[in-house]
Amino acid sequence: MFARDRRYLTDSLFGLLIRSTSLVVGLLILGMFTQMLLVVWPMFAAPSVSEQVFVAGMEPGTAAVPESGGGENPGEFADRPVTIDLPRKAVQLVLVPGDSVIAVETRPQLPATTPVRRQRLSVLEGAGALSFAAIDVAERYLLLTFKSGIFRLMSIRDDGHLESAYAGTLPAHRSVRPVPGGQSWVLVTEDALVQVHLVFLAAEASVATLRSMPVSDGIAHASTVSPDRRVLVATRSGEIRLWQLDMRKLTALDGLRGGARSVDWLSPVLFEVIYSDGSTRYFELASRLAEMSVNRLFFPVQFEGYSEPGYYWQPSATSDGFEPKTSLIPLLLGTLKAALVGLVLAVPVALGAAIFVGYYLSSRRREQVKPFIEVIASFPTVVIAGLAALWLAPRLIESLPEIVGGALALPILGGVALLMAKHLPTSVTRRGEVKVLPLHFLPGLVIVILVGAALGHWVEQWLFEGSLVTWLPEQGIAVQQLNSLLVGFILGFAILPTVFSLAEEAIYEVPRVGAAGSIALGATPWRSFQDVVLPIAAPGIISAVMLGFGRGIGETMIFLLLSGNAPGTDGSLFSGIRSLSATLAIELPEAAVGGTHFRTLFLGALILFALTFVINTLGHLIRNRILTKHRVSR
Amino acid sequence: MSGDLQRMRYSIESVRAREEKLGAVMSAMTAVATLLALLSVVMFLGFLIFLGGDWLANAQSATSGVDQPVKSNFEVLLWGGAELAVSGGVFPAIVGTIVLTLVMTVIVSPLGIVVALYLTEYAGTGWHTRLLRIGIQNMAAIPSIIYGVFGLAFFVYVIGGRLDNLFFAGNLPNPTFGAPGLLWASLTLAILTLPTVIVATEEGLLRLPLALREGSRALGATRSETIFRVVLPAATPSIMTGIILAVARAAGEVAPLMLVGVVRYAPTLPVSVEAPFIHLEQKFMHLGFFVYDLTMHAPGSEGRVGIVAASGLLLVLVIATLNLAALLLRLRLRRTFLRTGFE
Amino acid sequence: MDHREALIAASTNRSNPSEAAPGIEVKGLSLTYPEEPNALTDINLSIPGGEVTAVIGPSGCGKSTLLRCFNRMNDMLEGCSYSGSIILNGLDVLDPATDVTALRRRVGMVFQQPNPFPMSIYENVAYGPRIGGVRRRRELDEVVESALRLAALWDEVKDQMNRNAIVLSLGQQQRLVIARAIAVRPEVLLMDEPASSLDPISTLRIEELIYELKQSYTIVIVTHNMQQAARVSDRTAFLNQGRVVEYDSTDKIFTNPAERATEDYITGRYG
Ligand SMILES: Nc1ncnc2c1ncn2[C@@H]1O[C@H](COP(=O)(O)OP(=O)(O)O)[C@@H](O)[C@H]1O
Ligand SMILES: [Mg+2]
Repeated sequence: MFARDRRYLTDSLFGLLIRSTSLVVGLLILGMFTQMLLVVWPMFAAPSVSEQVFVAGMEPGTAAVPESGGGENPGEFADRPVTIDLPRKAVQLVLVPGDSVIAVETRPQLPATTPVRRQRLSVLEGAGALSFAAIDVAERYLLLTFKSGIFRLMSIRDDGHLESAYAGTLPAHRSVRPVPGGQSWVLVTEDALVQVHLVFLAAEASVATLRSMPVSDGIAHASTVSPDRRVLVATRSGEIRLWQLDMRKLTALDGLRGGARSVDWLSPVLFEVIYSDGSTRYFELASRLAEMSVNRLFFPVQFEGYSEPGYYWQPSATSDGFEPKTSLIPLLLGTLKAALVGLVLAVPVALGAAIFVGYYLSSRRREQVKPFIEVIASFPTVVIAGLAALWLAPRLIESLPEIVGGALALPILGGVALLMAKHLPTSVTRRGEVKVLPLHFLPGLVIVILVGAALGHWVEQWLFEGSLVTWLPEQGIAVQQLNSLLVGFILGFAILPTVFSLAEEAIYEVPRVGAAGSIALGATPWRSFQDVVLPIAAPGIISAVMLGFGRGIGETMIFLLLSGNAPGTDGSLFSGIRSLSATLAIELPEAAVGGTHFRTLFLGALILFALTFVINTLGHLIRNRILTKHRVSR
Repeated sequence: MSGDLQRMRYSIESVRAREEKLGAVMSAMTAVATLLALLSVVMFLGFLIFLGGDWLANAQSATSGVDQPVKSNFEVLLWGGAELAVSGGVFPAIVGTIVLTLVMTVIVSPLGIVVALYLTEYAGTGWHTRLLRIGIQNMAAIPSIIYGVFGLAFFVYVIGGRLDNLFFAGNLPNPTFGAPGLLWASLTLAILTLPTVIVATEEGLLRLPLALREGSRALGATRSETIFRVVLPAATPSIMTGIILAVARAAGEVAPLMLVGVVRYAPTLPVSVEAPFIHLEQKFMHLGFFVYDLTMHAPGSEGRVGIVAASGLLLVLVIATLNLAALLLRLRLRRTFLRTGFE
Repeated sequence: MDHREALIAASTNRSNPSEAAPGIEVKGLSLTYPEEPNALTDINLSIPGGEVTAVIGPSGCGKSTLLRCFNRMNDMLEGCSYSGSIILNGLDVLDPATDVTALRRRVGMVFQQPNPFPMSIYENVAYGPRIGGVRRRRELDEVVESALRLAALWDEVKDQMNRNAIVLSLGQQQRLVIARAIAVRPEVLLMDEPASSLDPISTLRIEELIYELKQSYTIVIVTHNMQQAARVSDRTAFLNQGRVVEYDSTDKIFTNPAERATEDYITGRYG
């Protein structure tokens, strides 16, 4: 009795174990998705604030942030001499603003190497009071802005002498806030924040408006720009708003009492608000995480120092104050471009082989041939890519015309044969269709490829003046050794077994009675394949191509070693690319955990995941839908 | 009427000649595609063997002194030398690869078998079963780098971080398990290869006739007894096949490892002769990453191609052996079933 | 010509419908597969034209193999080799020089499982004529209609000619396949267990059809079903282990077989 109870207990415990483990595995699959969502989500959440209460006398001091360029009260800047260090040139500029003339003193930083120079700059007509003076990072220019909106760009000679380079007008403003990175500034006007930047157009420096953010109820006071590129604004109606420079919106911060008079940063997250009743309160943002927008990820964005909007992927700070550029487009395009090239190269070979192995070969021979193609799937891609990077890459472009010629020779010959099929002499086709692996084709095949290569070489001599590698750059097409053509070529090799295997399976699985029925009516085997087998196998073949594509966009090592990892958005086959997968492998170990860069990478992973998931699910759906349909027919 | 027939015969003749020529051309084209696919395999293996073998067959010229014994390139590859960027040679990388796959196998085998058992022996046909199946089917096609990302986010930071807070708080802020390491890499690979094991095992289980189970149940055995005494023994070859395929797949994966603990150079092996014998929290070296590193740090330099090919050859040989074992096992399995007439 | 004869005339190559379909003469036919060296051994049969000949025998005795010799479908199998001769209307079927495609247009075949092509009902029937070079729509329409009428399917499908053939019931599919075979105007119809996957009512319809068709075609039918052989055939051949054990009129085989083995098989005492 007891023994039997124990047996039953064991049985149900085992069942429980199996069920719960499977549940855990199922949850794990879901967990992968949710985990990534959880990491990505905070990027899109609106910033939230909480009030910080400090014991009296222990309030945090100011000036934890870069010093504001302009003073608070109008006119203050203009009254006071400004000292600007030029560490590279080892000089100091001292500007002494006057009514119509600014006196500039150039002092060497190491005393007594060169004498102090004095220069007088006559101010532009009606320029008014100086609002701001700054130099660019390279110390080539001095920017002087005036409250009236007029500005002047002076080029700085090595000895500190200034020459007028460019002048123009910006909106009239009350004060200027420098943006970290030193190449852009926020002008605070009566009712808008305007970010202007230094741009170089054909090596000529100019100053242009980059972004502007209207504040509808007027600006009472604007804070400095935090290292995360955020400005706080106290509006005339006494509310506090947050502008993250690259967002196209002004975020109203909840939980702050109205009646604010001024606001300023104390740290990248902590800020103080002074109310019109004279009281001061402190608030803290929940995180330094920059808010992400779909715009920044997928649309062209104009960045500081860039003359035009574009797609850039430079997410991490190489220096302080660097504006992160997080467009996923270059990565997506790079991935898709190479995967498409791979597909174009792999699909004809894979499908041809699938038809031959799955339809023409007998079951016995099929089992002998199939593993020899499928074995590619077991070659580690790192080895394939490694060999290609060291051996093929230096040769690919050099001998591209020969390779293209050799590669095109076969399809061209096939196409011609197909067009001319009617006129082929019967002696050629007398043997009927090929039904065993025609190893005797090999010499002919090699000859055709060699002839193609020779033709390619000949074409190179005639059309490209002897060398494609030198001809292409002359046409303005940059040629890099690691490029998307190389990636596509090797990727094609890597996805060949995937497409072949699935397509072959789809063809082989079609019951032979159908084709036999057609052959019994006097059709040729090819006709039977085309009319009877192909319509049934087509969904499986489509799904094979889709799954091959999915495999291509997820491949990492090939991209990593062969793509050059240079994000770009051009359509050229000869330039380097950077894929999502390789970016993850390179950047994720180095990204600060929880930072914007880290989370953006997770978003990339999520997109890659979703992309392959959708492609695979579609592939499986197509396959299964037809399988059921075809089951009915049996 | 007979003129009609004559005309028809003629048209059949001409149509047929055309059809036959089309068939001959098309079949020849598919045959050529097959030859091309096979040729690409031969070329790749040829390059690998030629370049790698050539390098291995050579010896380093004793540049540093006449007295110094000349080392064969094989020794250089194994134990290191001036030619290699990594001082330890490929040996620690081989040890790392073996330990990694072993730990992975220990994790993935029971998990995979249990899920396959659930799917064939326990699960009904409800939506959750279908969902699980779809999930597993899709898992197999998720890019491997995604597993690395998941491993980093979930295993390293979430679970590893918790573990550190709970058990290794003394070491903080230096992470123990809260950083990439052997355990997390093995776990990541285990998840990555889970579908392989599940699918192979499930296939083997489904192949077993229902009568086998019913026979056992009819004798009064419980479900678990049936599984342990009848089902699992009969399915052992498929399970072994699945596990070997999983190991073969894992041995060639590099991308996810780059996120969860592989390093260029580890000062110590992840195994030792004293307790605890295996250091799950350590970072480790790996043959595939070794190949990557050699390639990456010698862009364009052709001198490296020999070493890369040689170490790649090593990796391919390991994987080929594993795959061959799986193939033979599967063949034996099929023959057994053919003999018993189950197919 | 009455209606029936007109139909037959439209569905055969013979200008005179009353002209008998040709017979088949099998002499010393042997066939080997790689794994089965004695698939067929020294088969001698004289199959009369315009009659139904049934081939019966236990599973694996070589019935399908024999049938596939008549239209050389075995050629598609690798490692299959044969010797002997099959004479159809003066043509040596097994001669390597024989035009197999032309042969297959003269010898139609119906398989065990209905195998409609993945296309419309119309296209299924028009398939044979089309690959034979018939292009004109009117001509095709005529062929399709007469073939379907002859296969007793016309009334059921005439309003759904453009639907996919897969929607038909199994019995209808099998008649469609017969119509498809008829549409190329063959002289001989081979049927390999044509009713074994059908329900009794569909089976009955197929049997009626065979009875109708035998006026204009030489029919060879493989069947597992004794009653069926007795009902539809004029002559019966009993095969065992690749040899013809007995070949005689169906009446004789079923009432008074000469061989003990035949009797055992027919009465169900076999193995
Ligand atoms: N394609 C083939 N390859 C090898 N052997 C075959 C093939 N088809 C049939 N056979 C063998 O030939 C014998 C006769 O088969 P078959 O003609 O199909 O028998 P039946 O139709 O009478 O059941 C069987 O032993 C079978 O195993
Ligand atoms: Mg049969």
